[in-house]
Amino acid sequence: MVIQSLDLRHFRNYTHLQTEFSPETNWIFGKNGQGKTNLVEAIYYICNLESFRTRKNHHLLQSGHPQALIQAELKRSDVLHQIRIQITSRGRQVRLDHSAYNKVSDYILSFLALTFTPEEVVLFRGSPQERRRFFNRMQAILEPSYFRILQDYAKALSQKNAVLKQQQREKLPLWNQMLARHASIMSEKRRSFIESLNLHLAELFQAISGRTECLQLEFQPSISIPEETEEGIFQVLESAAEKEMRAGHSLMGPHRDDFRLMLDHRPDREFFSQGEFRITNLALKMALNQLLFQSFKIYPVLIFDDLFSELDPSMKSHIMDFFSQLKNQVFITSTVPPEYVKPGNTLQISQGTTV
Amino acid sequence: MQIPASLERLVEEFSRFPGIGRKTAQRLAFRVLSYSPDEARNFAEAIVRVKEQIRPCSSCFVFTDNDPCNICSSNSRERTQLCVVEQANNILPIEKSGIFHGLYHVLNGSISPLDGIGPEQLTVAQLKQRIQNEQIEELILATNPTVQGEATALFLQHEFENQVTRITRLARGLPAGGDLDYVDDVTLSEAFSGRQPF
Ligand SMILES: [Zn+2]
Repeated sequence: MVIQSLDLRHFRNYTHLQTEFSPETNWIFGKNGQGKTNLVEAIYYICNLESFRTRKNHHLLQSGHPQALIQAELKRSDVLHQIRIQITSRGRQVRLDHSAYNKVSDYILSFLALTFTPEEVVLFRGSPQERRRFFNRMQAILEPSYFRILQDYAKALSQKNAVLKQQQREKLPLWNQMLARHASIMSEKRRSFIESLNLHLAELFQAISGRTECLQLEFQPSISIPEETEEGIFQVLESAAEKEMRAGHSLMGPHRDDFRLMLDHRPDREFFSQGEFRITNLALKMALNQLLFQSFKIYPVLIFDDLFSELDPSMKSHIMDFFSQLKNQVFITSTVPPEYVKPGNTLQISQGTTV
Repeated sequence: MQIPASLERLVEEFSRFPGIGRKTAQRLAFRVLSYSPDEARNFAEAIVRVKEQIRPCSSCFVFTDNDPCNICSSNSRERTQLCVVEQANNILPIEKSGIFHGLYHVLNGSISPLDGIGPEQLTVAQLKQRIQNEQIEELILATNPTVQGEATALFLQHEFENQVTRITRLARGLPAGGDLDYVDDVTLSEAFSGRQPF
C-alpha cells in the first residue's frame, strides 16, 4: 500500500496542499503548530476513513469553510487507485476510482494504516478500558468474526446487568450461564490473539531497541482460573452472585479484562521508563504490522507522529535502521530535519504549506 | 403538488410497515389509487377479515382461522414431538420444507430482562401444561440463534429437562446451496464444531 500523491483543500490549516510521496520513508518536519500532524491525519483518514484525533467532522474543516477535500492516488498490488473524500460538518462522501463507495469495512481492509502517536504511547499507563478498546479494534480488523463475538458478549452483559439492576436473584443463574458461554469464547479468542502477537514481540523489540530483554504481552483476565471453560466461569460468577446483587451491576468478566507488557519479569506500570513505554509500544505496532501482512498480504501505511522526542540518540539510530528494512510506506513527523539516514522524501512544513 | 388528505393518510398507513420508507409507501398508495372500486373494496376487506377471523390457536398459539388450528387438530401429525419457536411466522419455513411432522408451540417472543420480558410474559406456562397433559417425548428448541434466543432455549432446557425424554436444539451451520466463500466466519466455525460423522 503506497500513497503516491496527496491534494488537500481546506483541511485543518491547509488551504491548498499538493504533494507527492516516496514509497519508502517520508520525513515531515517543521516547528510545532505548523500542520505536521494535520498532514499525517489526512493520510490516516485516506486509509481508515476516520481521524485518529477526533470524531467530529467539523474539527477537520478549515475555519470559515463548509467543506474539506482530500484527494489521493494510492497504489496497491501495482494498481493505481484514485480516492476523493469530501468532508462537511454533516458527513462525508468517498469516491474510489470515480464511483461512490459505501462499504466502509471493505474499504478499511483494503487500505490500512497503523499509527504511532504521542497519545497512544500512554496506552499501557492509561485506563484498562483504553487497552480493551485498542485490542478489540485490532482483533476485529484481523478477525472479522470477532466483531460479532464482541457484540454478542455485550448483549449478554447488558441483559445480566438488567437482571442485577432489577434485583431478580432467581433470574441471575440463566444470565450467568449466558455470560459464561460468551466469556469463554472471548477469553479463548483473546488468548490466541495475544499468543500470535507474542510470536513476534520479543524479536521485534530486540531489533528496534538493540536490547536483549524479552518483551511479552500478558493477558490479565478478570476471571482468573486454570481453564476458562463455560462451566468454570459460571461457577466463579455464581459464587460472586451476592456481591454483584449488592453492587447492582456486573463486577467480572471479559469487559474487565486487562493486558500488560512485560520486559523479562518487569511489568510495565511499575517499572517502565518513559522511553520504554515508547519503544515497547512501537514493537507492539510492528507486531500488528506483521499480523496484518500475514492476513491480508498488504503492508499498512505506517504513521509515526513525533516518534523521536524523548528518545536517546542510539535508540533513534536503531529505529532508523529497523525502518530502512521495512517494506511499508512510512511517514515520520519531527521538529527537526532528518539526522541519521537519508529518507526517500523530505517535506518541511510551515504554516500549512510546504517550504 | 400538495397530496390530498385521504391519499396522505394511506401513505402514512403504508409507511408504518416494517422496512417501508416514505417513497415506497407513496408508490404503494398510488398503486391502490389505480385500483377499480371493487379491487379497493377487496383489499380493504382482506385487512378487516384477517383481524376478524385470524386468532392465535388456544393450544399452540399459531395463527389460525379455526381453533384448535389445523396442525393441532390433524390426526396425521406426530404428537410426541413439539417444536418451540419464538414467533408464529417462524413455522412457515419449517412447514414449507415438509421436514417436520410434529406439533408446534409459539412462545410469542424471547426472554429479555432489558425489555422486561421474562418467562411469565411468554407462553411458557401454557407449554408446561401441554407437556403435563399431552404425550410429548421430544422438545425441539427452534428459538433464534441470537443471545436472547439462546437464553430462552437454555431456560426451557432447565425448566423441562426432567419432564420429557429428549430436548434437542436446531443445529447451526452452513446454508444449503451456499458457497463456502460467502459464509461468515462465525457460521463456519459453528458448522465445524457441530460437524457429524459422515
Ligand atoms: Zn394449534
